[in-house]
Amino acid sequence: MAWKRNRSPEDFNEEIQAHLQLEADRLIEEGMERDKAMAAARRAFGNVTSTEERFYESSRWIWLDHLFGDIRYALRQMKRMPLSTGTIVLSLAVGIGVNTAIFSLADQILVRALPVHDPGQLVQLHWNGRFIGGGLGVGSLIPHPLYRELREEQEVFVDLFARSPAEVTLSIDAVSERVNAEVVTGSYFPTLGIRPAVGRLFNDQDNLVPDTHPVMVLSYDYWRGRFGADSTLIGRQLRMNGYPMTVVGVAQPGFHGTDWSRAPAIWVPMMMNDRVIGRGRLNERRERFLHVYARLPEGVSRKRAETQLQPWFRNYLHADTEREGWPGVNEQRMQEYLASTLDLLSGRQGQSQMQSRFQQPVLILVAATTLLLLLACLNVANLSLARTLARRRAIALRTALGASRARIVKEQLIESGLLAGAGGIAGVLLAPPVARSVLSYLRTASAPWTGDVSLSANLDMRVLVFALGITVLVTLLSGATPAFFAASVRPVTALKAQSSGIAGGLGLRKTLVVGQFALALILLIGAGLFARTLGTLRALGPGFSTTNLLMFQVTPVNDGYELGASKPVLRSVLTEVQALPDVEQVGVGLWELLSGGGWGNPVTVESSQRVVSNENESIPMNAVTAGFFAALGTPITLGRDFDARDIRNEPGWGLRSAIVSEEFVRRYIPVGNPVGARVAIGRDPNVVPSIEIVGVVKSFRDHGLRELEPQIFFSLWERSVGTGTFYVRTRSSLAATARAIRAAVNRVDPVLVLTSLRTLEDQLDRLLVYERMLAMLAGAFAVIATLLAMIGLYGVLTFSAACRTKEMGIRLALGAPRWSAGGLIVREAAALGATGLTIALPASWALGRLIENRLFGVRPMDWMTVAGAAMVLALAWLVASAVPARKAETVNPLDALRTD
Amino acid sequence: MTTRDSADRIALLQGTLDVLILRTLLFGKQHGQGIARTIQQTSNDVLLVDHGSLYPALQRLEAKGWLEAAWGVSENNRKARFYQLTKHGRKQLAKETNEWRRLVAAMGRVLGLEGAEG
Repeated sequence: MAWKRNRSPEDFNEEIQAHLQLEADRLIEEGMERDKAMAAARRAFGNVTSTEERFYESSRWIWLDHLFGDIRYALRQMKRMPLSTGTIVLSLAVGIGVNTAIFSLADQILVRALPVHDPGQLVQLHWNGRFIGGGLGVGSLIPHPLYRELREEQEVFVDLFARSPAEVTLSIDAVSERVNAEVVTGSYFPTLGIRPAVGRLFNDQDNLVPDTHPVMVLSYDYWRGRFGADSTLIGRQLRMNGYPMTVVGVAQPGFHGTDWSRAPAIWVPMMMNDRVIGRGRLNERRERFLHVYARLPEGVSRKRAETQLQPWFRNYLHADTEREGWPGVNEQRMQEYLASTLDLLSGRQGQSQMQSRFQQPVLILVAATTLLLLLACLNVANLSLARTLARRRAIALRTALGASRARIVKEQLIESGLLAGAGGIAGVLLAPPVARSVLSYLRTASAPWTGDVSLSANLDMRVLVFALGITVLVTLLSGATPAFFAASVRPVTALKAQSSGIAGGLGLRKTLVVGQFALALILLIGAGLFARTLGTLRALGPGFSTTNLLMFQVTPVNDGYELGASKPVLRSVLTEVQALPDVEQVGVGLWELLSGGGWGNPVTVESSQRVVSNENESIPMNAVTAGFFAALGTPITLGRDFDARDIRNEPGWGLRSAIVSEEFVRRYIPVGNPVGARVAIGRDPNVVPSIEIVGVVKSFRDHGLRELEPQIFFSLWERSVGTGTFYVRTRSSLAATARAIRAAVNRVDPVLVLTSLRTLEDQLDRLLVYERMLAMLAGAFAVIATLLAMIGLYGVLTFSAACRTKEMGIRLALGAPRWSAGGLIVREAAALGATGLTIALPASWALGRLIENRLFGVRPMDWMTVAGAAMVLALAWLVASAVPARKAETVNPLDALRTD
Repeated sequence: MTTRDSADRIALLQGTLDVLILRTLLFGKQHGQGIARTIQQTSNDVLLVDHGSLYPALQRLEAKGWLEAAWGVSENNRKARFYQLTKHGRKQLAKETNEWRRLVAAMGRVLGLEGAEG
């Protein structure tokens, strides 16, 4: 522990003085004269200073001492150049902050495993092949009977569980609200290894007999956020979709279910599905609505388990075809059904259908932020180089005095490290707000699923390590150039301070500025393309006027009504709302418009010929009331709207009439009168088209704005209906109408919960959330990149002007007009920009192909966008070169000639 | 570095100073100048201690924990820093003395000197 000594150099010095005194005393004692004795003692001792230095160096970690010295030196240098120091730290803070934030989100979206016990052993079951029957939901769906048999019979897995997402109305006292729920089997919590925070969770005893387990578990966040962590809630009854259910416990904090894009507030036993959720049927083998997960035993690979599972599954399939009620299917479909396999997908991230949807935007974001960081690095390298150049005489002097190259490089790197460190700290502080603002976009983006995104803006350890990593990388990237330059300073040339001696450094800086220009231009072009895509889509719209159009949803089956009793309630709501003053027209649709998805099926059309929709093609469908098209403002161009003839008051499902869109007619009824033609759902040869087309409506866009789809509409009142989306065209203000609507629904029955009350413009914005997000983010990045490029240009021009002061002076002295000096600077800027342009254009052409499928109505190399972006940047360039140019014009020839 | 009669004296070998200091302090506390003088006297003025090397050596030994030091007053009333062996230091002295004996004996055998002991 040699360094831990607390002895001061002064103390040591005192001891040496004492020694000299004692030695002199002895010499005097031996008979020497007093003054000679002192000198002799000193001579005997030798070099006092050298001894003291040896003490000094032995007494501490000398490299640490040097390091502190270097840090003090670097800090002094920073203080001396506050403007460039500030710019560097800010550039890095933005670069590192944005990267850290995006990394944090990308990590959560694309990489991170579920916060459950050993997520690596989880697999999701995937029915690979033909399923005979229907389904409800997205992703890999499995019917409930298959799950149950698997759990009882197979021995491949440790255990299995099934889950299904749902949205329910929860009534607490007199207040109702819509929340996300996860319908789960009793094995869900035990298999995931989740423990209760309060009370208990489900086990197999909570999942025995249908309709007999009226219990629920709350999520920790919901329990805290909605009930203030009230533990007396355990044992209380809440009404779920009108059905009383007892709260038995709260799940552990940090657990948000198996789908991060749709965090549930409550969990409900699977056995309550049919009674309370009404989404899918437990005993129906032809209806799949479950996601099934399993835990693999330790040391068993996914492939091995998959192979072991197949014989069992083949038996299941064969047994299934011999079961009573097996539908008659043709031989080919039968063979396809029997050839199905049960595949095992990785389940470590849980339900991941959102992943594929988010993957591309997230990767684009990651690429853009990386580009931004690179830009910031270039800028910092550039500014650091300017600082080093400004100090070249000092460096040269120190080299001349014997400072080693290694020491000078080290000093440079320490300075870069300090700057990057400061930038890194500021960046880490900046990251959570950036992540929060991106998250707020994602939250609206998840609107089509009405989900709650369980992503966090807080930084965890991994993310901090990442931030540290990029800070080190930035230090090396931005510190290497100036360090290399500093090491190459030759005392002779630098001390003479001839402009020619530093031309090499200037060339390098110009290269960096060209790079910045190119990157800024690429980002500007990207932002322009996304903005034009958004603008085109918005201007295009759905094809009907979205102004003064409100929508809302009422779902009586969620509020305690039986399916049979639901239709009269919806019709009463329609009557009440239609009777409101200022309401022009109301229509009801089964499915929400412009939600990004909906109901679709293959069809068979019989007019003068039989036409079947292509395989894998799904024709968008909806069921609507009379007045629906009038409310939207899309005219019936042929035939009639629905009317009393299309209403069935007795129970029943059979569809009798349909209205199709013009696009449908164009594709499927190319000749003859479409009115009177017949259609059927399905594309089997044995389907009999029995639904009569009674009218044709002008085409509009619904599922996707990007193309005109063929559409079929059935009559809503023709069948049992549990939910309706109302569309209200109003003359009055939207806010007043919204209030009147709430009151009207309340008059029908106060128990009814009104959801999704918003304008169609809002709905359109929600549909365009990805496009808007891309345009906004690309725009933000482009602005930052342009600013960074301007700073870079400013730096290089100022410096170049300083180098050319003498030249300017001579020119002016010889009679050149003042503006010509500024012209020289601007010309230099223009040359740099032109070089940047030649790099940026091919690069953005190449990158444009990557984003091509995100664009609409504009090609990746749209010349107007490119020209616009180039003009914006040219203007920025002119602004950045104005100050140095002005400075060059005010050069005093006499002073200029005297320098150097 | 010698001041007088340099021909008669031997400059110390690297590493020998440490063991000499430890040995000198076996008899009690001593300050730096006293240590140098004692070594010189006990070696009959053959071994010359370079004063400039003495203090870094003391510093080193103190750092290793073989010596302790404290300021005190010399016999002629001068302020001086006194050094003292620690338990560790005694052990080290025993070890190094032993090593020296073996080295001297070995050197003696190699150089063919009379009276070398095994």
